[in-house]
Amino acid sequence: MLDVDKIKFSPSSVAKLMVEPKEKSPKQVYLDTVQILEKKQSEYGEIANKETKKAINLASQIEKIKEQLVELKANQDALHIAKTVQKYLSEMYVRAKYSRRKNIETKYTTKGLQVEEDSITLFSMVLGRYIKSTRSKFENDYIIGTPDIVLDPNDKDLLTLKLNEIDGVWQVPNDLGIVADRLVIDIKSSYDIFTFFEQNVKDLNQTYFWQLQAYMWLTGSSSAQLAYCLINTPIALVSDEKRRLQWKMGVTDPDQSPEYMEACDELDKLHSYDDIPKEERLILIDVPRDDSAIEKMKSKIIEARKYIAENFNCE
Amino acid sequence: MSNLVQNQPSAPITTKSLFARQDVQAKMQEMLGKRSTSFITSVLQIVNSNDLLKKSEPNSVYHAAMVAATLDLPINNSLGMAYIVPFQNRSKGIVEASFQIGAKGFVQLALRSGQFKTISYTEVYEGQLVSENPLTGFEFDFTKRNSDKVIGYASYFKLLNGFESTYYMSTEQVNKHALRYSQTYKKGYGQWKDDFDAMAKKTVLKLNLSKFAPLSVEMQNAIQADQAVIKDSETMDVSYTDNSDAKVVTINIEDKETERLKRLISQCKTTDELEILLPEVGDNLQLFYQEKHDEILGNLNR
Repeated sequence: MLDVDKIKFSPSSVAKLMVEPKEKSPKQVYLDTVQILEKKQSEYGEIANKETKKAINLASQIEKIKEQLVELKANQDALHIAKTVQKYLSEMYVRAKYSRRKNIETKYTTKGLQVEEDSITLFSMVLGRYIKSTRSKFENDYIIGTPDIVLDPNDKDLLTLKLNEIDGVWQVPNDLGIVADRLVIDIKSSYDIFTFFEQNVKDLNQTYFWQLQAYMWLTGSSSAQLAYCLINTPIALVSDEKRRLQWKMGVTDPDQSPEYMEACDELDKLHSYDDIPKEERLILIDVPRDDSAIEKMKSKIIEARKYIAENFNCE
Repeated sequence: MSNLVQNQPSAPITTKSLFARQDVQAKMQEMLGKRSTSFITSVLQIVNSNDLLKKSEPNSVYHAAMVAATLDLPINNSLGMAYIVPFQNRSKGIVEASFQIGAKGFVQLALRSGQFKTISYTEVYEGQLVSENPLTGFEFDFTKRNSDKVIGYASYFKLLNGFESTYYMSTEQVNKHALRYSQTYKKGYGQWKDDFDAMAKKTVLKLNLSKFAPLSVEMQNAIQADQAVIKDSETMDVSYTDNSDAKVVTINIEDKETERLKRLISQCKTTDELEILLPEVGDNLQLFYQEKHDEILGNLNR
């Protein structure tokens, strides 16, 4: 049997719950309809001769609206979830109940995983201090995840909070609160030099905003940083790109195609950055803690669990 | 990173259980009709007969089988049309199944297109290559044979509209091709090592077709899927794991952390900077740390 209250979300996926539906909520529809009724009742009240066609039509409309309002009132507190969120929750249900997950690996996530430690090294070298990845998983009643790096200038290790451990996962109280000056950092390894420098001009990615709020909640951090790192792409991934290019260019014998060989050289250049000073290969973006966002996250998780319980077979 | 973690045990998925799923069977039924059952049976038999394939990631077996089903090529080692071959992906630490078409499979696909009058391939023995002209082509006399030494491989096709093409590669050229495109051959094992002849014939046939023949959509997909690990058979997202000229590196986090610390130690200019790192220094870096410490002190004393 599926206990929906035990369904927890990873910080990287929390943003998917935060999408607001485009349509009006059932409550808003109810309130709008009440207003329409009041307006029509007021109009009706102003008509002196109730036998006129106008008055009779209005009366009829008023009755219909009253009938609609009965149902609207009963449903006004119904869950109001965006279609995209509903789709995501159905995937989560499949994952929770049937242990099957969608394969979301792309060349971007593959690079990220493969060069994560190299990115931390770059971060470490630029800061001039030794930094290690957390490598510990933490959970509270709502979210579960492994933050990349947690820095605490007071040297209060996250684990010295005397947390309990269950199956290798540290249990964090929901109300951990804020530990002064604690900083959680999430490493992002850009796929190539162009996507890297775009971070200077783009707005903060909303997925990352929610991800960091979740990590701050989980670690008691007072603030967070996104660390975009520009790291050489592993040769295997560059080789895959070259192969894709070969197919796209219709080249069967690379040795006979100077254009293809030139394009491969460009690919190599696009994916290696040893000529760029390390300081220029790190972009840091501060993300302040937002407790109201954390509260909103919590309520969306509760709503999501309720939706699964009401719409899927949890037996 | 997982989208969702649930404290419930997840049932291990095997190739057998994957193919037993109703949706998989329905998909196969949709593609192959009455032959779907025997096709699935043949896939499972091939997996069971190969220890490495048994360890292969089930999804990779599934997608390779799906490509074979899409191309309507039987997966049967004795028929030589299509194969599912295990590949050890050392960078990921897993075994993956890759899809391979045999020379006979390419012939089958070519004939199905209805455009070919003749298509064939052969090894060429010493004495059989009469002339080589880069402009007018090759001339062979297969009645002559000076020895059993194979000097090259050739393929030929003729279309119904009269167009014909002969493609020849010497054994040295084929060997160079194999070394370039197969990392396993470079290391001394794999398909090329086990059956150089068969792979050579397939190569000249495949190159002849892809360079000179009108390719049906089926044939284009076949060429793309050949010798690839199929990540998604519907979108033809493939990865040529044996093709990669990457040095296979297993990411060891401890090694990376040691390297990081070493680099930081190297860039220290004062003993104060160095002492900040001391708590992190393990036995493996004690000597390195001490040498740096001495170097800094030595510089101060000058």
